[in-house]
Amino acid sequence: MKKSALRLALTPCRPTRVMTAFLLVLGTAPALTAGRAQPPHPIPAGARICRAVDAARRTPERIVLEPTRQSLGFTGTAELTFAPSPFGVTVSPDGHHRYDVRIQLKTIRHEADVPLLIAWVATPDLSRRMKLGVVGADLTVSGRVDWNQFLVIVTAETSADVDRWHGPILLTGRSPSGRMHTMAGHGIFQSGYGFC
Amino acid sequence: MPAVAAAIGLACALGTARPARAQHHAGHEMHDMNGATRNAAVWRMPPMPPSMPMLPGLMRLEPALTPFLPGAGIDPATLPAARPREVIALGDGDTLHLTAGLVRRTINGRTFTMYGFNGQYPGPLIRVPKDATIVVVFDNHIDLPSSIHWHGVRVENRYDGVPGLTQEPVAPGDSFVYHVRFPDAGIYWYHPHHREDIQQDLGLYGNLLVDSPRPDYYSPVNREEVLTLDDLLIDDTGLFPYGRERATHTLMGRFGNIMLVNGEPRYELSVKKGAVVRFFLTNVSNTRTFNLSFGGARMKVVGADISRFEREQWVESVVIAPAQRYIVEVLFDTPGRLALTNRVQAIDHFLATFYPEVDTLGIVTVADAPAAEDHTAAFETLRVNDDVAADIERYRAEFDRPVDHELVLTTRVGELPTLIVQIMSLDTLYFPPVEWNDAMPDMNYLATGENVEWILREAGTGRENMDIHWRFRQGDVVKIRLHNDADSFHPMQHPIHVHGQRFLVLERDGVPNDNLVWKDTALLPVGSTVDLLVEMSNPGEWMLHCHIAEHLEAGMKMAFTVEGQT
Repeated sequence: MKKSALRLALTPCRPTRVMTAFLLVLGTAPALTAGRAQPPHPIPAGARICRAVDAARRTPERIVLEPTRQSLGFTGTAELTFAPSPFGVTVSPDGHHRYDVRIQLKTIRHEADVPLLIAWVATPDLSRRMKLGVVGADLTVSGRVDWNQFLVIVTAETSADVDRWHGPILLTGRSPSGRMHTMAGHGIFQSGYGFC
Repeated sequence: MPAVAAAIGLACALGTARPARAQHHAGHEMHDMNGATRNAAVWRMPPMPPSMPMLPGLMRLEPALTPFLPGAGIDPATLPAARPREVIALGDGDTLHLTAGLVRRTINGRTFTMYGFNGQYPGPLIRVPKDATIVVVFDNHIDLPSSIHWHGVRVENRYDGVPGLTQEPVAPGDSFVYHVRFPDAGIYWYHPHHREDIQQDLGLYGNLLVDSPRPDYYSPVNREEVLTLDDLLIDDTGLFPYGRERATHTLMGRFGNIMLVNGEPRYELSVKKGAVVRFFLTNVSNTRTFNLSFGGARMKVVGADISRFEREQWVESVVIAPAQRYIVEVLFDTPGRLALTNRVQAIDHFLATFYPEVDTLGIVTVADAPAAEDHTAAFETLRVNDDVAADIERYRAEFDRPVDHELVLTTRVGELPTLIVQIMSLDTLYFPPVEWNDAMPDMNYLATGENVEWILREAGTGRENMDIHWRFRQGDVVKIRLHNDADSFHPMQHPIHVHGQRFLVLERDGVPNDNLVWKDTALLPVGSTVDLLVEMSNPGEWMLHCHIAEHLEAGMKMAFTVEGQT
């Protein structure tokens, strides 16, 4: 092990710390003993890489909308692209990314049987909600949102002239940032976070 | 379980049980805060935002590099005090002596040994007429090899200032003579192209303001301001050390914790009511992307790196990545004090949430008295720049040409501590389009060019970085597609800079750009794809690279040749 890799100090012990130590050993012993870890996904030098950039470039983020038990058989996706900007990335003055959202729904229902559908976005705690728009006959609707974390919701309504949803929620989705994973509850972090 | 591993794990856990805040100062007690050791280059844990815990197991790690700070062994009191930037107006054929040297800088009442051009911070603002050629005699009096790159200026290749490609590095004590011609009006900047992560960060940068011969090139304004945007990383001990052999902070680049405008922590401007100010903005930071606004004052964007936009456009804020320039005009029509702020949504990776981060970079005081000249009407008009559109129109036939070259922007890691690999694998389920702050300073500073490699990979061949070498002929117009791979180990935005040429960003993520501008540096958020139309007008061997200084040091560069017409 290189001298610079690790310098450790021994201080008094508590049972919780012993447990944490055990977790650390399980997680990190190979690196600590070997000094270095292996790359997670090594790429052979000179490998031929032919990526389907065309497919990726049009849809940086695609949200699959999850049907609820009241989905009436609808499925759908929401595609996020950056709103146009002279700066290459679009944010609001307070720093929220600004996305254009395009929702595309699918159903086997006959057109005449499609209820009035409205798409919404809301913050995860539902403290703020915004009407994205009424789903059109082509089962699409587009709008713009400048929140970093949000839910996409599609509801069935009896009137288009509503500013909050009343009808059943058919589909929900979450913004890509919903994939963020809190580490606060992990044992190895609790001590560092002042929980013990 | 091996006993040694158990002991190490136990020790790791014990070491991490102290409150994170207390650990910020671990090891600092050995330094004399008032004496000559203030400049001591000693590794310690990087400063952490108060809400951010340090990762257990990382607190006793340090980069496998020699810590470096400038002016080792030199008492800062013996160095010349740096003075604010001066404007130097030069004409065609004039000569300027530009000396890089050690200076004593005082920031927020604390004294540091840093670098400066001609003893100034930033370096002198060089103002020249379009099409002028100046001679710059560069003397290197710092303790590292250096060079000067004339960023965005389509110079003759041998004066581009890229060691290893266009010249040898200028050794300490040596000189190099540059002949710089300015073919385009606008705002440009100069900086070393050798260990930018150190030299640029410590003050070696300055602006070049190139005036058009046309008096109506811009709208009339009451005032012009040239601002450099920067940040600097310090802790209780002083400047945070750099790696002598290689760069540190190669995951995210070195974010500072003090914001600097024109080298000062608090920019101040006084104007009269109704004044219109044209700001020439340059981001000279190593890695930080700013989101600037002037306290709600109305603002329009006029120009960018190498030209004005086809059409002026209202904007609420300016997103500016490292090396980019934007020209904006701002109307200050309400008396009072307005804050120039950088407002972003930072990420708390531990709680998986965003939180607002607001940095006040300066204050604009608007007096009650009206401005002497009223330029409001011109400000209210969004100009259409027919000359820019006509220039671009010449290339429109090439807009639909097939893609000539494709690069995928990605990364490869090896020899990182396993704990970092594990945590980041967990954490990379989501990456924001732009990392606005250093969300993991402890992991970031441990990453060096030895264990993190940033990659430009040519689609189709798999060639990477300097193994790629494109060849063009002068006059070629080529389409280059850049895709920032969101699936890499640590995706991050990249400001990609093309030397010696100018380009248009034709489309982003498949959406055509309907307001074009000539540029030299394009920002690629994570997951995005841009198509550049590059005019290969300038013969020579040139570089294409990420302008995050630490990503450049970690390999993210390639070369291409433009063969001159015989």
